[in-house]
Amino acid sequence: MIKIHLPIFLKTTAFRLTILYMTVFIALSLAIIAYFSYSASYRLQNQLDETIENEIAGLRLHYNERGARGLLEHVQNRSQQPGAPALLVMNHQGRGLTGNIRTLPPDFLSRDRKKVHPLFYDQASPSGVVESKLAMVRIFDLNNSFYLVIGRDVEEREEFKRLISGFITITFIALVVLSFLSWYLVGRRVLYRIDDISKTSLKIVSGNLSERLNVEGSGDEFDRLAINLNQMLNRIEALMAGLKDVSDNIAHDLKTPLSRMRNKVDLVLSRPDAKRDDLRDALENTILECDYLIRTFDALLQIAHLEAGGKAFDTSEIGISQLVKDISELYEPLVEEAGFSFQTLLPPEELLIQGNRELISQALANILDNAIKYGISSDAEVSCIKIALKRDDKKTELIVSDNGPGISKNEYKKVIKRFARLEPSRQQKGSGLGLSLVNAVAKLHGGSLNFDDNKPGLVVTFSLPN
Amino acid sequence: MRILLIEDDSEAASYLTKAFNEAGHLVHHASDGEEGYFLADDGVYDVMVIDRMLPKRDGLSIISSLRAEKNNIPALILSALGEVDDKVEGLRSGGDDYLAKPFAFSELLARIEVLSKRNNKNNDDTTILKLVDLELNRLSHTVIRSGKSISLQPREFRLLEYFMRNKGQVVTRTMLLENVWDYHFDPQTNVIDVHISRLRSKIDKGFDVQLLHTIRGAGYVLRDESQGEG
Repeated sequence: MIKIHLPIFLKTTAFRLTILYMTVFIALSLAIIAYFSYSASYRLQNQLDETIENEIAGLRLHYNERGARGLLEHVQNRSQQPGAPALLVMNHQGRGLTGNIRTLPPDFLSRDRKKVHPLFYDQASPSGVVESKLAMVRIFDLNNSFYLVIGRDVEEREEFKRLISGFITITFIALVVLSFLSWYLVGRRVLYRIDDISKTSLKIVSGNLSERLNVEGSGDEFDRLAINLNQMLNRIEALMAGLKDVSDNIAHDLKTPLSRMRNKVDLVLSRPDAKRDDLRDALENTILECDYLIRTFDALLQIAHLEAGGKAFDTSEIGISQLVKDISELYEPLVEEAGFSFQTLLPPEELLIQGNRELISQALANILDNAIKYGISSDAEVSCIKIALKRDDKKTELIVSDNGPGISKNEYKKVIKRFARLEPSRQQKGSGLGLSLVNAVAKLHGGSLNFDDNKPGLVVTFSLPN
Repeated sequence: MRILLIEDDSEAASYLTKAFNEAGHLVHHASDGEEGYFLADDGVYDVMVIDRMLPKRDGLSIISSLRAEKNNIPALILSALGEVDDKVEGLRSGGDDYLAKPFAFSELLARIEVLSKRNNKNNDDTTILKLVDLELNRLSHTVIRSGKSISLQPREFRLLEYFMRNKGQVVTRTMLLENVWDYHFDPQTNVIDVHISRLRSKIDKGFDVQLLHTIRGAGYVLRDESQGEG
C-alpha cells in the first residue's frame, strides 16, 4: 500500500475538523440555496404563464367585440406601454401588422402551438430605442386570419437566476476562505502549543526533570493540561528526590548499625580470652541492634504503604477529643518524668471526624515523642508541652507545642523527610522516621502537617478535614 | 503445655520447637496446612501457633474451619505481614492473637502462656481477683491491699486488672499496650514503663512483699515470689 506522506499541518486534528465542518456547512448552505432558487423560479414560471393567459384572454375579448381592427389598435397601444409583453400580430402570409417584436427567426411560426418557446428579439420602444430582449412566447392562430405571437420578458427571471448563482459563488468562496483562515489560525496555535509540549517533554525525557511546561495563563485546555502535567512532574521530581534521599540515608542509617554490629561480634570472636559474659554481652547487643533495624524497616514499610495509599485503610467515625484524651493519658507520666509540665486544652464537646483511630493515635504519639526528645527548654522550670484541639468549618487541627529550642523555618520541610534528623551527629536515639510517618498519615486522611515558631519552641499542627 | 506448631519453614520450626522445649512445653510440629488442620482437629492441644501462609491450606482458613466446628483451641497467628489491617483480618477470622515476624521469642512465649491459661479457667466473670493480700473488685472498682484501700486512676485499675487476671504470667509491653490501651502500634519510647512504675509505687510501696516484677528483656509479671515457685 502506498502511504502518502502529508505535510505535518495536514495531519493535524484541527485541519481534519476544519475540512469536516467546512464540507458539512457548505453542503447545508447549497441545499438551502437550491431549495429557495427552485421554488422561486417555479413561482416565476407560473406567474409568467398566467400573465400570458390573461393577455391572450384580453386580446380575444378585443377581437370578439371590435373585430380585427379593434385587436390591431389594442396591440398597437399595448405594445407601446412601459413593461409591455412581447407582442406581434401577423397576417397569414407572415407579414407583421403591428407589435413590438421587429423580426422573427425563420420558421418560427411553424413551431408547436402548445408550447412556450424562448425568443430573442429586438424590441422597439416608443422612444425609438431598440433593445435586445429574451422572452418566453406562445404562438396563436386567431380565427385562421391572424398569427399572434405573445410572450413575456424573462429578463427579470434570468436576472434573478444570475443573482442567485452569483450569491452561491460568493458564499462558497467566502466559506472556503474563512474555513482555511480559521484552520490556519486555530491549527497554528494548536501546533505551536503542542510543539512546545513535545519539546519540553523531550528535555524531561533526556533527564532534565526540573523543566516545566509553559502555562500562558489563559486557562484554556492547553493550560489545564500543562498545569496537570506540571503537577505530575512535581510529584515525580519529589519522589525521585525522596528516593535519592532514602538511598543516601539507608546507607547511613541502616548500614551504620549493621557495621557496628558486625564489628562488635568480630571483636569478641577475635579475642581468644573472651569470657562467657563478654560473649553474652555481644549477643545481647546484637539483638538490640537487630531490633532497631527491624523497627526501622517496619516504619519504612508502613510509610511506603501509607504513601501508596493503594490498600484502603479502615476508617470510621471517631471522636477526636476522646482520642487525644487517651493518648494524653498514655503519655502523661512519660512527659512529666521527662521534666515537662503537660497541658491538654480540649473543647467541651466531642469533635467527630472520619479516620483511622490507630493511625491518628500513632501520629499523635510520634509528635509527642518528638516533643519529649527535642522540646526541653534550657530553663527547666518552664518546659511545657501543650496539646490543643481546634476546629473551623473545614478542618480539625491538633496542635502540639513546646517551648524548647525549636527549629529554624528553613528546616520545616526537612524534618518530614525520611531519616531526617537535624543534629548532624545524631545523638538522640530514634529512626528519624517519626514525622515522616505523621506526614504520611495526615496525607492519607487528606490533611496536612505544618510547623510554626512558638517563640521559643515548636508548634506542630496536624490538621484533618472534617 | 502441649503446643501445636504449624509452620512450613523447617529452620524456624526447629528453632521454635527447641525454645519451647527449653521453656518446658511439648511441641508437635506440622509442616503444611492439611496436616496442621488434621492435628488441630484432634483437640489434644492447649494452644496452637500457626503461620499465616502455608502450603496446601492457608492459616486463616484452618482457623475459620476449626471455629465453625466449635473447636475453640486458642490460636496465635504468625505472619510476615505486620500491618494493623492484617492483624485485624487475622483476628476476625477467629485467631486469638497475632504476632508479626520477626519477633522476640520471649514475646511469643509470653503470649502463648497467657492464651493457654485463658482457655483453662474462664475467669472473665470473677468479681474479685486476689493475689496474696491484694484484692481487686471488678464491680465496685476498688483495690485493697492488707485491708488498706488503694486509690487508682481508671487506666491504672485496668492495668492492674490485666495483671491480676494473668497473675504468674509474664506479660510484655506490647501485650499491655494492646490489651489495656487498645493500641497496636509500636511507640518509639517506652511509655509503658512509667505507668508500671506508678502502679508499682501504689500497690507495692511500703509493703514487704513485692508483687509486680520486671523480667529483663521480656516484660513484667505479677506474682508472689516469697512462696517459692510462683
